[in-house]
Amino acid sequence: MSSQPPFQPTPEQRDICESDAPTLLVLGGAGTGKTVTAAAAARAHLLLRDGVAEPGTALERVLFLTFSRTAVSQILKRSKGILGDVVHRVDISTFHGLAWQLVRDFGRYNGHGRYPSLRGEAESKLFRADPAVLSYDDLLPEALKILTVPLIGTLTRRRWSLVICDEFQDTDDQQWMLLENLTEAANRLLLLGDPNQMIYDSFLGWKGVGPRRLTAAQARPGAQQIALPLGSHRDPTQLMPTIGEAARVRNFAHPAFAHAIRQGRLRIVPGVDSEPAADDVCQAMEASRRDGAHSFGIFVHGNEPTATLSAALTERGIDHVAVGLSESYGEALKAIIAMLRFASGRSEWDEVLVRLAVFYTSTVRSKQAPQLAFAIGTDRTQGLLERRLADLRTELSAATDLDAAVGIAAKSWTELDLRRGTRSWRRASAEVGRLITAAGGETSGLDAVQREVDGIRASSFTEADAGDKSPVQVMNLHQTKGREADAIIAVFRASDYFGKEQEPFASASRLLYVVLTRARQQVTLLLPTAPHPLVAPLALLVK
Amino acid sequence: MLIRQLRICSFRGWRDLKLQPGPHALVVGVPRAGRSDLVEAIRRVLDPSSTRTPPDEFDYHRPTGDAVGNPPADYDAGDVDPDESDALSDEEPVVHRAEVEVVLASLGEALEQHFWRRLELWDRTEDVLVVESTAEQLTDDRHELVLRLCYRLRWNSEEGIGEHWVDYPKNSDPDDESYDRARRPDRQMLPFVSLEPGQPLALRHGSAFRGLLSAEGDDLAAALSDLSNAVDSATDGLSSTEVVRAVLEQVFEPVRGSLGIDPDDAVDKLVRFRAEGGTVAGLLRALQPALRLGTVDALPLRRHGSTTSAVLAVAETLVAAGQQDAVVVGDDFGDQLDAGAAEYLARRLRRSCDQLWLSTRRPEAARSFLPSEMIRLSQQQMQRQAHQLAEPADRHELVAMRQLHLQLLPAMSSNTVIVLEGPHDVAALTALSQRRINPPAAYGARLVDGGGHGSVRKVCQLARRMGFRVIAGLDYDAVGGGADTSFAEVQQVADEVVRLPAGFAIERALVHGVDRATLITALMELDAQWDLDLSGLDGLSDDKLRKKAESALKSKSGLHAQYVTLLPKGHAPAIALALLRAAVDLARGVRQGPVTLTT
Repeated sequence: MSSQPPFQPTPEQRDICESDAPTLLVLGGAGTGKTVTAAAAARAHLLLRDGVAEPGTALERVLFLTFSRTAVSQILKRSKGILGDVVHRVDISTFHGLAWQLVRDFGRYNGHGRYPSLRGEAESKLFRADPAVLSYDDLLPEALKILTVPLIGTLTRRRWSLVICDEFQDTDDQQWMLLENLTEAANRLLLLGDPNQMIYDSFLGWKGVGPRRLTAAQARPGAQQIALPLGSHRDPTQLMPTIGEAARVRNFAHPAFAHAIRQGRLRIVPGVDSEPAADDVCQAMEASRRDGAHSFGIFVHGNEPTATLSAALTERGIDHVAVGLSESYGEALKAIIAMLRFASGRSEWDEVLVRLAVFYTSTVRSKQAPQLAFAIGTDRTQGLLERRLADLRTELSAATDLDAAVGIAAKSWTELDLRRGTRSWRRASAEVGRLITAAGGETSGLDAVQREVDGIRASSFTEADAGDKSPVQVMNLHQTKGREADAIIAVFRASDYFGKEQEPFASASRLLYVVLTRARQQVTLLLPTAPHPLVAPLALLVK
Repeated sequence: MLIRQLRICSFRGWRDLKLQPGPHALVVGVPRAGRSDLVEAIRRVLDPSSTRTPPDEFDYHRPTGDAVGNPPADYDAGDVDPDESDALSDEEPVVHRAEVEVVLASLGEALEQHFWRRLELWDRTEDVLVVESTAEQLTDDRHELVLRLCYRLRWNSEEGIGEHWVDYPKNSDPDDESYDRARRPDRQMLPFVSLEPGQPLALRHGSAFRGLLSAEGDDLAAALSDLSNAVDSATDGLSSTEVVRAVLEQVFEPVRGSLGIDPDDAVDKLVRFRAEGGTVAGLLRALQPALRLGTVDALPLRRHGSTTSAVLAVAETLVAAGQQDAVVVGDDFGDQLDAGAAEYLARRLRRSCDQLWLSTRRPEAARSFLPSEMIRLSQQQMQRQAHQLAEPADRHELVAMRQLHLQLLPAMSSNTVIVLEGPHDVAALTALSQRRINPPAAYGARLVDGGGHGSVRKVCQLARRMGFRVIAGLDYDAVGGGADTSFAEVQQVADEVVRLPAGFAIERALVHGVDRATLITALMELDAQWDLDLSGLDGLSDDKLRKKAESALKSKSGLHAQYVTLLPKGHAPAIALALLRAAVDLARGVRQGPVTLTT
């Protein structure tokens, strides 16, 4: 999306821009232009308020909240032209990003000291709980408390006269409470949602995600609702949204399916039984590339299968980013810094081992830290890995200067041969190298670099990383929302588990809807010989 | 907006200073005690252009030293942190550091939202910054939102180079050399006006008047462009007038060839007259204000005298300050104003802004400020110090303080005050001191009216709190009882005390020892001038004559000074003179008290 078409609102979109309802729900399917309309509404809101503002009063601001950092950067990209000269008055952030910012700026007034620290998920798995250190899950409750701090809380609650929430159908109780808090002081609330994309209720229901959110929003005083008609900026032909919708209501006989297959927009490849299906994915990518695709979204159900496929693609030399492991980038930075500190005699070898254990944990998707991580962290590795670590230690000890140490650290991870997170490591070592050069390459600059790295690392916890611009992104089916790519390749396996649901799969079908509506050009579905009943009707389409 | 706290560390003449001003601040004090450095320190933080040019090597603090240049005994040679100095190897040059930090309060919603992430909390009861707290410890009443800004200077004296900037201390960590520097557009948001003695009504870019014009909106650009076009066409017309054209032709005729001018071209089409390069900026620099003030023609502003310029400069500041709830600072206010204008304009300025910081040596300007707003700078043991009076506890105390304050105002740039009991003592000793080569002023001392027997102690106390060296000069007319008690009391609050001999008030001190003939002559002259009804002086006994003289001095609201001036040379009253001498000696520190004079 290099060029941006000028925003020409439909009548519904114009209604949204002109509304001054205290709460406005905007419901629309994938790609109906919710984001750009919200940007236009933000601008209209600010201009209207500017027109009636008393001289000398604060310029009003808008807050645009969303779930992922990727969504943030996409919102920025899409809305910049529309916002125009008010762009600096619109703050775009993830829920957790905003919460972490509040904790950093004002946590000192809520018992967190001047420099509150944040622990990543990997660290939480490895280390015992520490009340002085916040974890990701603490952020929203802490932010809510900061909003009650005298003076600071009041000022913050007045700060944004319009709060926009993207994907609001997926907000959990705490996120919803944050929205309500931020709009208590007569601020407006604009909610963008698509009930058909509600794909987390099955496993996040305990946190309050579910249909009741819609009810709660509608019950707010003065709430109004505007539905956006079908019409996708992502796919102007409307073909993919149409089959997405048909799949959601299990109408696989819809003529759009046959049409899409004929047009080559939808490719269904049955009999894909190998696990991981790396070769089939490569073939599908090649085919889509021939059809003109430049960016690829590869979706797999489940965390472990996603990681396995990612590792297999790495072995085949497919440069890609594993979405949702953004934390591993921050942990790689930290581990590399630990190596440099060791090389320059500023810390012990134990610290390097602990940071390597944390990094390794961050590359693995599991509830608990892998045993190997504990072994690395406590210096109880054996065999080849033990020898490789000893070699690394010798090499770092012998490094003559910081540049040499950066070189050793950069290649160390591949040499340890743990086969995970190599891309994060490569990117992190390039970044550290850049920071060291910028700091003058002196050992004395290491502290400054370390501080910078700590900042980057913390933001990688709160805002899924947007720094990696790889055109190939591999992710769990549940991370697909708000993303788009030229070509989507979705891998379904015979063992995929979609809960206890049966036909008509009311909840899981929404997942299919999301998958099918992410592509700008083409969707490839890789199906096993014996597919799960959720996708079985799709296999029949090619017979 | 106002400054809640100012902290200066190693900047210019200040090694260490922390001030929490009242609603406004009047900076007074002895010469070279740091008035201008204090005002400059505030400018460094709040003037957005203060860091545009490189710093000066004299900006970091050097020890003041005594008369022969020795630093004070407790002077710590390092501006460098002792912990850090260990880490410095021999090759690393010493870096001198200076800091000025201000805590800004009453920001208003617009600035609070603008600086949202940089805001901190201030405890108004304890008058300290809240570094860390829990939400339960904070209340809307007791705390307020503040913004801290810090000017920092680093000077490498070996290389002779330095760096300076303004940052937000909230997110800066000097231990790590990491600073959250304030960008210029953000600094420009802060309402700050510096009162410059420069040229008022100047149109050039950067002038105060131009700032006011720009604040009025977009019409200025159009007006300036119209002006420029009009001037161009007027000067173009000049070239083509008969007389100019003819002379131009003559001048160019011999050099047409060498300048490559076509013989057919008329020279007047080639020559234009422009103000300073023909730019609007150049034109505006060339335009100077001219005023018709009691003159037939408009005369350039500077021809109307420095007072007119000074008055207009303050008036411009008044307008600018009124537009933006600003902090206004000015150095040496009133130097070019007459007494009345200084007082009036200081009062107007005070009303027009959120907080006014003026340094001045004019007591009239100071009269517009509350006692608790005065910051008096002194220099003691080679160490600069700042003195402030605490807020009065009640209305009663406020009234007393104001009264005493006014009595001390005229002395504020003196080092020492000699507090006498009443106006008659001051009048008499002032008149006496005018007859001497070395009056108290020669030693930085000033005679002050203590407001009567009952309040001398309070005035002494107040003077001490304001950093004066205090010498009390007392009467001793009621021997035993009251006079003795106050002598003892005053010794507690004054640095030194001297009193007249037992049984003496000032009148007796002026009369005692003056020979009969001289006394009668002086009294007759007073009688002639003031119609005192003093007949038959010759017939009075010595004792009666003395009593008559003493009561005559007290008539007509006091004729002490007039009497002293009437005494011929060589006939000065010995006791009064002894009081003056003793007071000056005590002030100079060449004599130790307490002293009770004897006859």
